[in-house]
Amino acid sequence: MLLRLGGLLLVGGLLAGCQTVTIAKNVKLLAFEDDVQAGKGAGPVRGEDCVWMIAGNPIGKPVTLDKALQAARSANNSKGDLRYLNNVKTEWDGFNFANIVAQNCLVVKGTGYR
Amino acid sequence: MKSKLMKTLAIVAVPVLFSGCLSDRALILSVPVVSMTDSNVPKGQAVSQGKAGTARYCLSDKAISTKERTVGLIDELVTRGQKASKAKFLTDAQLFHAGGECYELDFKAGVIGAAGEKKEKAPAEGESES
Repeated sequence: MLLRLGGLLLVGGLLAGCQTVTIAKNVKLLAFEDDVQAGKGAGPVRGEDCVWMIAGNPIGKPVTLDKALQAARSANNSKGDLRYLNNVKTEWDGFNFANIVAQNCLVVKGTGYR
Repeated sequence: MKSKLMKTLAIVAVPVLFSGCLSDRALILSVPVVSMTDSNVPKGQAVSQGKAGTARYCLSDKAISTKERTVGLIDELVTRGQKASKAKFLTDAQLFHAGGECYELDFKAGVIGAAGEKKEKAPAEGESES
């Protein structure tokens, strides 16, 4: 319900502007720490935060950008957490089974550096 | 497409719903350093905090970060902040939903200097732009 309501609150404004808005399209640098000295590349990373939907109603907490970013930061963290990401973008993923059961995920992608 | 749009709107609007009437602005994201122009700083250098500023973007505004139809919310706010402050990096950046269709990014202009050194002269005034 919150997800739907939140969307409805602002959809009019977006459509009026004849442009679509995504959270992050291609942010060159997004750091988790103050230290952004050139680091060792950890390759492409992906993090997500998901919510299950039953008959259109979310089960559990709404997805947040912060949780998706933290998931990306700790992806493949056998060598430690990432210090920063380059070329960050967000997108939506998930599935919908006949509007009965669905999962919506906010996905963060980028290139990680330690 | 419309479904994705609504989800994107929801992710930035939900914090507002939870904060209710407690504040005019709802925090969406906080990051130590962000940039739309530079990927990092060379080894031995660091980014320290300069003058504070605020960038503002309302969804009906003309975007300056891209000429394409799809606009990145963070991309746009950081671009505006960097343009206003003439800084390559923004530090202590906090993204807020400012009510209605408007979003704001509070930041401190990044000042590049030797790592472990006190900050140098701050760049130009980092005041807001809408």
